[in-house]
Amino acid sequence: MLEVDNLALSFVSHEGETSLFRGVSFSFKAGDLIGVTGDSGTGKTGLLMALGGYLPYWSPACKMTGSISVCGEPVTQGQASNDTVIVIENPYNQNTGFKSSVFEELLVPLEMRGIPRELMLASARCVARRFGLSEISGLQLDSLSGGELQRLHIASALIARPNLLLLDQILVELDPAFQQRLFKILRGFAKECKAIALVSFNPGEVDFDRFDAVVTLPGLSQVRPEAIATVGAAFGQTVSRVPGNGPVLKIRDLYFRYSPQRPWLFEGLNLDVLQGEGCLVLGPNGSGKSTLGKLILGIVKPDRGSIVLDIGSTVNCAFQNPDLYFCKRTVQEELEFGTDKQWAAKLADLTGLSPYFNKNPYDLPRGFRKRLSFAIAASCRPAVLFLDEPSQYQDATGVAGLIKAMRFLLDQKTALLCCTHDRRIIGEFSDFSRITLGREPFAVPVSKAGSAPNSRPTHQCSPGLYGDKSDNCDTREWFQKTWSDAIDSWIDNDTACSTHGGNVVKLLIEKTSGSLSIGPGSRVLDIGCGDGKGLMALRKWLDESGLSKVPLLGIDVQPALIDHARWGSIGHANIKYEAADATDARLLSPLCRNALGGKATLITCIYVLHDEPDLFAMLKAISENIDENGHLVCILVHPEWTETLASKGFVKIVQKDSLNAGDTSCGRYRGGLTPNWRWLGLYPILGDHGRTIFLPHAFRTLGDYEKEIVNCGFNILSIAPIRTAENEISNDPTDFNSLICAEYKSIAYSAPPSVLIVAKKL
Amino acid sequence: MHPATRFFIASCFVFAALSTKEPINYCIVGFGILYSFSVKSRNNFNPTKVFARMLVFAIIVLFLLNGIHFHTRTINVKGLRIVGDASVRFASVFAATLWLVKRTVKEEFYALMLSLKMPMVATLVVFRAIWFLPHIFKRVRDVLLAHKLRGIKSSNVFRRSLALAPALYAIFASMLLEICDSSVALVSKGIWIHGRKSSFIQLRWSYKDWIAVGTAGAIVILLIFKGCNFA
Repeated sequence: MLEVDNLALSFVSHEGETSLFRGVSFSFKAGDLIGVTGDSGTGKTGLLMALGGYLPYWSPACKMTGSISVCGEPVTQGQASNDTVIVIENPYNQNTGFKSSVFEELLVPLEMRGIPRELMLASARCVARRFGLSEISGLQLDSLSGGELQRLHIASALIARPNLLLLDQILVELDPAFQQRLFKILRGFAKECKAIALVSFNPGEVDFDRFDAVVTLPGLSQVRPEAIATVGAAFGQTVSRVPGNGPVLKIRDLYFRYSPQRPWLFEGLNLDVLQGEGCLVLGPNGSGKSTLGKLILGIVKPDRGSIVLDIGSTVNCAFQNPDLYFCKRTVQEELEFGTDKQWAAKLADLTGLSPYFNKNPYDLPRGFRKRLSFAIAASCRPAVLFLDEPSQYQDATGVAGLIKAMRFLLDQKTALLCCTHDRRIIGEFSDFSRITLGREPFAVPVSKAGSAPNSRPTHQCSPGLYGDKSDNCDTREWFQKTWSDAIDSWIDNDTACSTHGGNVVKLLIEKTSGSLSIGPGSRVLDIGCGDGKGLMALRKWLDESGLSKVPLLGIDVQPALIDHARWGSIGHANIKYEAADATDARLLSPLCRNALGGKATLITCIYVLHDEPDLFAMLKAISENIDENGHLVCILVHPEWTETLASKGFVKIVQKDSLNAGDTSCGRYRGGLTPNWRWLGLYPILGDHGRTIFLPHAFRTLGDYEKEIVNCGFNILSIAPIRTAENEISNDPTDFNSLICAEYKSIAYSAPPSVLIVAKKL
Repeated sequence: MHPATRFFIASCFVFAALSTKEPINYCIVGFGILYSFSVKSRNNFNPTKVFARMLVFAIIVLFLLNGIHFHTRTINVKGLRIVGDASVRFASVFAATLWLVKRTVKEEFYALMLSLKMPMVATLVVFRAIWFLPHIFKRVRDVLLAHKLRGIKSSNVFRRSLALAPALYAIFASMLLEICDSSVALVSKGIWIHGRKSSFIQLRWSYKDWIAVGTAGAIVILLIFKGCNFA
């Protein structure tokens, strides 16, 4: 299917013709996953560009001989092909500029191919989930990290289902866990779509056995990962590894997040970096590695906490993008700018830049530019040097040079904070302290060459939030079923219980099995208190338990929905209620804190409709407003319920996956638009302004809820399907519940398919 | 609201501001500026500050050009009227543009261009232009920061200007590299694939649009019949 015969690529400049490679021939069949490797400057990118038809057409200085054919057709130079897609190494430069949100950017290849909207949505949901983009699909592109952006671009390439997928050095941005998943996805993609996937990578970045075949470009150096480890170890023996006495950088109780809508990146991070100490900053994509550097440099301000640098010390950073630094005509001038020639020469020597002293920085390959930016950052002799993915775009020689330079700087008492995913670096610096960021357990990548176990203390800024949860939600078969499949098992399920009003309390006591600890200092919050039945039941239960002073707050969305008459008749001194749009996370926090005077011990909530960002925001806000060890009792209705409502004509579904904050169905009620439900004679959801439901794309099964609850820092204690007892169904023809329940009597199920989840905050 | 409606409203606003006589035009522009400055941005960025600075800068330049008799060092009253008139013209366009920028998301704009059957080349040019300005500002910030870390001082406006001189090379060279990458990505994503394109966002013309267009159109017609500047 892909045939390359005697391919040669060269560039002509004023210095003459420089050959990238010559005599490259290979042939691969559909379904193959191919690796392409070679040192920096051997032409990995050039080869992929030539296969894609971009070179030599795009560069007048480029010459190509030989032939390339895909599916028997010669590659047409300069013509966009439907069947070939390329993802390049720098994720920040690949946004189309047509879109601002993640989900919309993902869809661009489909839009360009004129795919109808309905088909787009189906493909996008599937791909977004496989690439872990569902959670961030509503975010703006410029709020993503490099790794998250690269995931998006790879997903966007796959969604086009090309015959030939070219991925140029994409692994450097991806965390090891996702790299593993990516290879599975690529293999599946190649097999399913009868396509060929070519992944170029630097030697040592990934094991060859991941591929069906590996093309090694001529000029590949003989330095293998094993050799790197040896080089490093030998060098390590000659330098002093004892850090200086006092901490040169102190971080205390650091809290930071980019916006209130996003989760905390750092929650109480404490860190001391000693003089001459080396630290590896590890963590998955989007865990805040680069942000830590920005905080240390003062580019972004922490929400709380302090970052203190030792008096007289300086801090510098080598950013991911090397092209920001250069302002001189030659490499030598760059290195000698603001420092002495000897130091500059030493750094150039260590990083292997000496032979390129007279070259313009922008004429160097990207790997060399990256090394140069590292040398520039080190040239001002900072006390702390933050290195953001320093081994990006480096071949084995480059990594070896980088390791030597880092060891040299440590020897000069420079503290290094190095954030990386690169197993070549992690394996080499096994004696470094490790700062693990992120909410999920992070598997440290280890090369086959092996590495010594970490002997230094490990900083973990967030606990593993999966806690003591014994069974993984992926293994719960029925939980992964769609509603239509799952409902049969529920109807005859003995564990099915009834919940309506006061039954919540009964269920709560049953399901927490005595682990619920509500005492005099506790606070209880009922989100979605509706007509107040649940509130009354909770109050009664608290009073009977001798906890009459425990404050209880009920809140609900949309003033029009709340039956003020009933609320007024509750008349209990210790029940407060707020008629506010409290599902808006921004309102939940002040409501909870102001009314309760702190975080809640117990939060009960019911979630009926499925505006995904709304639910995300809700769960996150709950997570932030609940005590440690506090309990959450959550009734969630199956996502397909929303679709069922639409099929019955009760609501109109708008497939709008990238929502703005005010776009949720609840948000539509704001501004007093909701007519009184009594006047309409129907539940307000059926009102003119409220019947639009934005269907989510992330939640297709109940397992998705579970994952989200767990991600918000809860340990799930129990999950039980629930049903409404026959005697609890109202006969009122205007009651929404009775209308819906009537629809389902025919299938012997008398309530929306729901589950009651009891969870405990870790 | 349909993006075309927003464009129509913005155009009507500019027409109204330019066609009425003082002090009504001042009132219209003042209202427009206050509204566009206070309205919430639907995008991730908020260009209010940039627009405000540009507007103030333009008014100051106009004042310096027209508002002062430099030889007698007195205020030129006639010149002030010219400053006022010109400021109204500037400010009305600024306010309308700012409102459009804040209230229209790229996705809608793309869908609008698609529905208008604009050629892809034109769409690309427009979006590259939209992309360029905020991008170059960001790049200037990044490059200046990197240079500051190298020891190039940029603590005040003068030093920043001096620092910008060597940084210009880095800014434009890195932007060129980025544009090369970006063009590969665009082609790869299928921008030049022949045939019909589709859009995820479906633009619909609702009754709100009719009301908005009708009201704005009525105001314009009223102004024309009332004897506006252009009539």
